[in-house]
Amino acid sequence: MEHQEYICACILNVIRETSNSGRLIRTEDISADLQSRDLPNPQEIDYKIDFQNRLNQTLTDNCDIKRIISPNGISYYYSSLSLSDTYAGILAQKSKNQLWLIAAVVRENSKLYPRPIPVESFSEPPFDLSPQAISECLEILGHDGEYGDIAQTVTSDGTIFLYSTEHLDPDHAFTLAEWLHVGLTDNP
Amino acid sequence: MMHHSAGGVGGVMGSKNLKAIGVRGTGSVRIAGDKEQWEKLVKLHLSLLGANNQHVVPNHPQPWAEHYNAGSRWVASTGRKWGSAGPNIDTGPCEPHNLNRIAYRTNNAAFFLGDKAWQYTIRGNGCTACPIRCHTMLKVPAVTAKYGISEMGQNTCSGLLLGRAFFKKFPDGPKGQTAIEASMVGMHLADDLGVWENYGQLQRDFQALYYNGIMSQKVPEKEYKSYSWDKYEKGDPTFLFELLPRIANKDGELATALGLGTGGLLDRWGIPEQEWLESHELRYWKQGHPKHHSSEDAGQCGVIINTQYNRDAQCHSHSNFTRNGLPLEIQKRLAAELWGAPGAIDSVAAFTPMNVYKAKMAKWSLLRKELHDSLSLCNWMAPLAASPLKERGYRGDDSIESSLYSLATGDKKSRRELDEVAERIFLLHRALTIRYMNTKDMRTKHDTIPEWVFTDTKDKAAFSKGTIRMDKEDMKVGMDMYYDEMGWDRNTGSPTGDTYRNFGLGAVADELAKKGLLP
Repeated sequence: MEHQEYICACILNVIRETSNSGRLIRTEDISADLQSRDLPNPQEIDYKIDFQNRLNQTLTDNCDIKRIISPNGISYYYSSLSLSDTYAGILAQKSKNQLWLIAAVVRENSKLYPRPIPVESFSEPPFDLSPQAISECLEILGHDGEYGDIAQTVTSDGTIFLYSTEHLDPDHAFTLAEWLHVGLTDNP
Repeated sequence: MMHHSAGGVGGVMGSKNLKAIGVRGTGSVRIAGDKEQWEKLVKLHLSLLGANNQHVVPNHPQPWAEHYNAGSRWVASTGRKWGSAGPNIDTGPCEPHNLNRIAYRTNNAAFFLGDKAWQYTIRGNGCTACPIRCHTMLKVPAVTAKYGISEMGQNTCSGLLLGRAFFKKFPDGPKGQTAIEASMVGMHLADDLGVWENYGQLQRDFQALYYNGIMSQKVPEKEYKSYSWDKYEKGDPTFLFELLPRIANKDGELATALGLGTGGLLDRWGIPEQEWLESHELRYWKQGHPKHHSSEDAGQCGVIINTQYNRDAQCHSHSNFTRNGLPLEIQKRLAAELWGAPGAIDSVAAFTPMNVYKAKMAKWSLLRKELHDSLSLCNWMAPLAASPLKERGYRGDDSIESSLYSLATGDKKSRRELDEVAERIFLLHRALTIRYMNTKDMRTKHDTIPEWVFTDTKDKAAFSKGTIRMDKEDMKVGMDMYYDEMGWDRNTGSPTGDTYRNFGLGAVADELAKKGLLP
C-alpha cells in the first residue's frame, strides 16, 4: 500500500512540476520519470499495470490533475493549479501541425469572444512559429477545404488578422480588427 | 504634474510656469474603522485589480490564464523586459494571485507606442500607493542628441501620444522609432509649455485643417510659409518645436486659433460646426469637445454618457467593462448581475436596439464616475465590475467604494446609499448646467448627439454587424429610458422638482422654479 501511495505521489509531483514550467507531459514521459527514480521493491510489481492504475488513481484523487488528448490522439497530463485549460489546449494543438494549431485558435477566438486574432501573435509564446512557417500557413489557410473557413482581414495600418467565417462575418471581423489594432490606441 | 487629456491641470500649471508642488507629510493618515478590517479590505481590493483600465485578462496566452485579448493593457509576459532598467527586469507571467507582481502587468508605453518601447522602459510610475503604475517611465537616449530634451520622460494614454498624434505618418511607421521620439518631444514640450490637447482634439483639428486646405487659406501667407511643412509631412518631430511654443504663446494666427480650443477655432475661422459634427475622423461631439468612449465602446450606453457633460465625458466605468477582455458570454453574465439583463452589453460593432438595461448601465456608469471624482478614487480602474479571478467567476465587487468610504470615514453607507449620494451630486451638477445655460431644454440644447454617430462610412445600416452606427429613433428611445431612470422629464431632459426634493435638494428646485427652469 505504501508503495502504491509513493508512486501516486511521484506521478502527482512530476505532473505538477512539469505544469509549473508551462508544459504538458505525456504518459510515457511520466513513466520514464518514475523508472529513473529509486522505487522500493520494483521486482514485486508488474510495473506497466501498476503504473497505469496509479496514474488513473492520481487523476481521480486530485481534481487539479487533468488529461487532454491532442488532435493526433496523444494523451497529455497537466495540473490546472498552474496551467489553464486554454493554455493546455494550445499546447496540445501544437502537437499536430502548425496549420491545425492556427485554425483551432482562430476558430475558438472567433466563436468565444468573438474577435479576429492578429497573425503576428503566432510568433510569440506559446505558439512560437517562425515568420516563414506563418507565411506558409497563410498560403494554405482559406484555400484548403479543411481550412476553408479561415479568412484574412487587413487593418488600415496593414496588420493581418485571421478569423473563421463560421463565427464572424467579414465586415464584423474587419471592424473588430481595426478596433483592436488601431481603435484602442487612438481612443485611449 | 504632467499634462494629461483628463483635466488639463498640468497644462494650467505649465502656463503659469509652475513645474511642481512638493508636499512633505508629517503624520500618518488616520481612518475611523478597524485597522484589521481595513487591511482585509485593501487585500480584497488588490485581489480584484486587473491591469490599467481594469483589463482583467492578459493580452497574450499565459500559462495561468483561461482568457486573453490582444486589446488588453495587461501586457506583461515572460521575455518582455523593462529594457532600460538596470539590470533589465523580466515582467514575467504575472499570475493574478501574486499581488506583488501587480505593478508589472501594465506597460502603457508598449501598449500605445508599440513593442519597441520595451527597450526604453525603465519602470512603471503613477499615483502614490497605486500598484497599477499606468504611467510608463522611458529613457530614450537618442532624443537628447537629436532634439536637446531630456532622455527621460513619462506619461500615459493621451499624454504619451500627444506629440505623435499631430502627424499622419512617420518614415518608419506608426509604431517605429520616430513615433516614439515624437512622443518624447510632445510630452516634454507640453509639460514645459502648459499645452492641453483636449483628449486629442487639438491634433485631430490640426491634421484636418492642414490636409483639407483650410489652414493655408486662413493663415497669412508669410506666417504659413514660416512653418516647415515638408518636415511635418515627413513626420519629423522637430516640427513640434515650431508649433507647440507658438500655441503656448498664441504667436500668430494659426497658433492663436488652435490655442482657443475647437469651439473658438471654428468661430474665429468661420467654419460651420456642422462639418465637425459630421466627421468620423474628427471624433468631435459638441460645445468644443470630443467624444470619450461613446458608441464605439458601448453603443447607446456610450452615447448617453457623452451627452451629459459640457466637455469630453472622461467616464470609464462603462469602457473599463466593455474592454476588460473577457468573452462576451461572461461579460453578459456579469452585466445581468449588475444591470438586470445580459442585453445591457453587446459585442463591439454588433450592437442591438436599445433596452432599459443599457439605460441602467449608463446611469450606473455616470454615478460611479461622479463618485470616484468626489472620493478621489480612480475611474480608470474602478468600478471593479469584473476581476481576473476565475474562482469568482470573474466577478468584481461593485461595493468596494462604499466599503472603503465606510471604513475610512466611519459614516457607514451601503452600496445603494453611496450611489444615492452620487446621484445627488450629479443632480446638482445638472442643476448648475441648467442655470448657467439658462434653459431647461437640456434635451435639445445640451444632450445633443453629433451626426457622425448616425452615419457609417460604408453606409451600413444601424445594428448590422461591422458598424458602430446608431439609429436616431432608437437613440430617442434611449434618452427617454435614461431620463426615466434618472427621474428626469422626458421632454426637456431636466430633473423634476420631485426628483430634486427626493434627494434633499428642495432649495435647488425652488431656485430653478423661480427662474422658470423646472420642467
